[in-house]
Amino acid sequence: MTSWITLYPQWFISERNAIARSYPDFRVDEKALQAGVLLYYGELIVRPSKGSQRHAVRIHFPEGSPFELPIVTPVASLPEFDEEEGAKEHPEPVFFNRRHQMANGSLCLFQRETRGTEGGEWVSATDVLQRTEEWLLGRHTGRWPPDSRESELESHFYYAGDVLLSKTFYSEDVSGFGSFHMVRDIRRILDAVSKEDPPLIVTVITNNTEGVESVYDAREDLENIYPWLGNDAWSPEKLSELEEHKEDDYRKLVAEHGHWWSLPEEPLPFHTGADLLKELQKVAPDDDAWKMVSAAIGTELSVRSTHFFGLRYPGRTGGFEWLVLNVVGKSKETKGGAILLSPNKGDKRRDFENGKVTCYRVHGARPTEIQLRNTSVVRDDVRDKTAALIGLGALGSKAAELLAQAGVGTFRLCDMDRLNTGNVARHVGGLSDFGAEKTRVVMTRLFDINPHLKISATWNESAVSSLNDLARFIAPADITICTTADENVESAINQIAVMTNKPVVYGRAMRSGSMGRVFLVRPGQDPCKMCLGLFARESRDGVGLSEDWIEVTERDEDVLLHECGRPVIPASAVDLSFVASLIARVALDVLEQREPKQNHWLWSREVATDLDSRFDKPLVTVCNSLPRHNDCPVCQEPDIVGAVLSEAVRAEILSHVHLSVSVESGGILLGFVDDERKAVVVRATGPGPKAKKSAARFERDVDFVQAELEQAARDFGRRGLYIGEWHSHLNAEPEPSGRDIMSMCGIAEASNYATRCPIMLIAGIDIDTAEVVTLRTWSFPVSGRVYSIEHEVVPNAGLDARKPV
Amino acid sequence: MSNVAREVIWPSADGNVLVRAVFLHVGQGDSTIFLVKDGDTYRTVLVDINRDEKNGGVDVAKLMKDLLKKEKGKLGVFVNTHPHNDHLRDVVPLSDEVDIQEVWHSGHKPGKDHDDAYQDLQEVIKKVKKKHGDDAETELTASSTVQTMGDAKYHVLAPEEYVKEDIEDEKPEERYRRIHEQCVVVKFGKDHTWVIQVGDADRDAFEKHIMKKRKTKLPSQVLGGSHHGSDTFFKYEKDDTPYKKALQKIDPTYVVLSAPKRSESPHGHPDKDAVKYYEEEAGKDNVLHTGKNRECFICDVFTDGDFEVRSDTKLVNEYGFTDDDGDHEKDESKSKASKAVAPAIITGTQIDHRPMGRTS
Repeated sequence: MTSWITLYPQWFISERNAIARSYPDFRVDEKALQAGVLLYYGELIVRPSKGSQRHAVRIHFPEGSPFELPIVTPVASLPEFDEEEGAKEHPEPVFFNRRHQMANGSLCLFQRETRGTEGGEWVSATDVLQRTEEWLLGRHTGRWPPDSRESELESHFYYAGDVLLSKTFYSEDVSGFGSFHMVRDIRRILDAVSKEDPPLIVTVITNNTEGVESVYDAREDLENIYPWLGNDAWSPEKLSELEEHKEDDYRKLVAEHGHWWSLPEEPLPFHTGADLLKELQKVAPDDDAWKMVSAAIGTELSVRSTHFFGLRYPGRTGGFEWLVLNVVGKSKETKGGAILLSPNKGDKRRDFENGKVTCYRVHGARPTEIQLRNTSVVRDDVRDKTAALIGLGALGSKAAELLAQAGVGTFRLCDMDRLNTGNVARHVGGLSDFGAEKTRVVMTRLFDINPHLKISATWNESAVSSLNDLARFIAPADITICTTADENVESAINQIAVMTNKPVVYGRAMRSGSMGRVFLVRPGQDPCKMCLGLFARESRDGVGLSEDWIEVTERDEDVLLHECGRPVIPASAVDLSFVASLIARVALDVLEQREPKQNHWLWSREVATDLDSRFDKPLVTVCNSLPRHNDCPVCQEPDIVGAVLSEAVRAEILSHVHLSVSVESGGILLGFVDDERKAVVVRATGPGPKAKKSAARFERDVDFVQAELEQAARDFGRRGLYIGEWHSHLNAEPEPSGRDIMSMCGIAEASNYATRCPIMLIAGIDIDTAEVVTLRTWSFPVSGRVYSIEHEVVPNAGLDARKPV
Repeated sequence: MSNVAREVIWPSADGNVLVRAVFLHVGQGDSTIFLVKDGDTYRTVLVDINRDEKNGGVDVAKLMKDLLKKEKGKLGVFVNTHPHNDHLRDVVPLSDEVDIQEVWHSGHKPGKDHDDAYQDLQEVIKKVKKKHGDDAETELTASSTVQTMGDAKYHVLAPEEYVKEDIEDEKPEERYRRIHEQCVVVKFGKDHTWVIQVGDADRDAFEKHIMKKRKTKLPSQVLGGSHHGSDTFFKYEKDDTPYKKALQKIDPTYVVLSAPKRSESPHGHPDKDAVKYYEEEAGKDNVLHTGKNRECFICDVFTDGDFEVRSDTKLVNEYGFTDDDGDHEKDESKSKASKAVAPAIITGTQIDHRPMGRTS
């Protein structure tokens, strides 16, 4: 191994010169230097008002010098040096129980903020020593160098492991003292500092405030991320039972418990049981904290040599923090393996006081902590927003993950597939999720990111398995993200979303992942999925009208194989992540109400000037704002979502029906479509003299209704146009017949009716009473989909339309 | 660009430093900054100035310019303890770099050897008076009362007014000594915590004047030791019995000697015996010597009366004259040359002084 001294000799020389100049009494360990390690021993002199004080220190240049800082450690005394000028022994560190002294005794006095220092900053040992002097001086004067608010108390303790504390335990109400119970995450045995010590999860605490005992459990916070914990984990009694049997029953949860107290202020670092008692003295009821502590531990003092403690104290930025410690007492193991503890009281206390304090790093699962890194980057209110994801493959699962990380609060997940081993190469799920529903895989991942988010729906079927379900699925969403790359699914979503005014982001990878197309449809504002289909078709036919549409042709040979008839196209997660990020970015922009000006993004990994001159470099994203297509049947004329009849129109229809209750009757509906896409009927015509009527068939008099239509146009102008048909069925519960449907869809598609969404009203006649008992309405958009729509009867609906516009 | 002087010297707003004394390493000479708390800000006082390029001393004028940048360049008071070169060198450049509001001095006329310094001081006084009026010049005389400056106090203990006029006709050596006898002695602090700067005040100054008239005012926690650690504070001749009563009366916790390394001092400062006497009185670790490791010492007196002393190498690193080969002139020509040929690419390689060889 080449020492840094050989690699950076100039720094070595200048450091040695600087120390010789400023700290001439410091002595280098020549023997260590022979081995390529530069370390010095010397005394720093600090000068408080009582006169100079000397502190022996070791300064050691780590192997990463000069990129790593020299490390100063206060030591008990200077070592003796042997004939070869090497330190005879390396003295133990001296602990001052103050911040900035790490558990190994070294001092950490510099903030590492090198972003503004190009090439980094090489800090000289003389600067480190001078900073050390300031710190050591603080020990005598009480005037410590200013402390940064963020430096962590825990890093000053011996690290023993990790513990999770969920938001419940940070509540204001938890104040006083009590016990806390933990379970071990035995799945994480790899993360254990020692084999018996996997990470801990605090599941429940008891709190005694002014004599009132209460119990707080973290079930609501955590059961989403730890579904395997089961019911026992949230009850102190059940956990205590488990703990008693833990030696002989590893099939169950492994439980631990400890005792905690609230402190009035943040404690200083410390390292022994005696130091802990000193801290707790601040809250002890009498002048001996041991009484309080030993009473809390109780009989366990005789059977256990390690005890957990929690200290709750006011945080530096408001709220509360926790320190979770373990006091490891002296224990002797007998031959039989049993632990032999000190028999008498005094010894027990001495053992405890001499016990070594180790620290479990607290991981707070509070929303503020989880979202800390989004501070002022993502709006807080995305936690109140809902994202619905249709398709949870490489793009969808990744986009969901990104949005959860951004803090989006509610998700709806739809995917029909289960995870197979071939998915893992580009999915957020892993091999250990084999065979699981992708919705479950993503749900678990999202909860792992933020246990406080909600999954308000999981739907393990194709999005087009039920159009009603699809409508219900996207109804509560503030953004819907479709990554299925399935034209049928996209079209179905598009129709519903346009009709219900729901924004949707569509994203797909193309050309084996080397390109990605993302588009945003805010109904009424952006071109819808159908518009883009029209652009694409025109572009392929060479009659492209939109300059901004960039057509990307796919190659059949890209398809690797078909799974359940769906093509599997190879693409690397490396590329797909770009597209997923783009999708998530657009979705987040919508959720944050940034109102993106563009609605169409095309990304290319490679130069693609054949497609567009802007792709003249790799990794370019071209963004456009495409217009809506003038001929789009979906969004230029959105579907009719309801009907409004006036009393008079209703009466007109009924009177026509009652004229011939044994055969069907009918006519056309005239009126207009209001801003809410409701058809307002201002006049219903009769059948006309040449109408053909029978019990199961009706044909209106075409010339008659044409004349009526023209009259209405004269009477009402644009408020008296053709909006649909009405007729009667000799059936109390009428449904559109096959003939009805074929005729209405034909009207929708035919250009001569000048509507893409006619409505149909059927009056149902009870043949026993010869009365009209039901009026039902449907809309027939050009897409071929038929909706049953509600109609309302409003006394004067469309009355103002009776004057020409 | 970072402003090291400001970072190191200016007390932080939230601190409770009442008086900060910064004993600058200026090689063979003296220069001490006093910052005196005045509400939210600090008044600035510079006692003496020196420029010593050979011993790595700091460039005081440059340092003061940086320090006072945020104060619109205003230096409250420049105090000259006595008009000798090693207490006035660079005072004119200082007056160019910062706006000196007042000059306080001992009012002495120096002998020929130190005439340059005297002329420089006169020039600066003229300049300051022109800008800030006749009141900007104060001839200091010992006073029996403590004066107020900002939130703190200061006290002038020397010179005694009545002996200052009669030295003009004396022989140069005699006058040199008499100037030290009538050197300004001033202390800053309050109540029972003081930092005293005695300039080059010698045994006579204390034995004949201060100890007689103002003995009770002497006790101070930090002593800016006399005359760069010369033995003149203790005796007239090498073999005299040392006079330690003044030092004992001052009874300092810390003594700061402003002098280069003894091996680099043309006068053998700080004097071995003198250091011994200081160490006997204050304790070995409590006698600080700026030149020993080429550092500055910062003494803080806090509003609660506590105090502390810290060493600093940053100021020397930033403002110290470099003397790699003990030849600063060469260095300066080097830097001038590199400035003149700024677009190095056009003129090509510029050879400069780069020593090499087996020994270092």
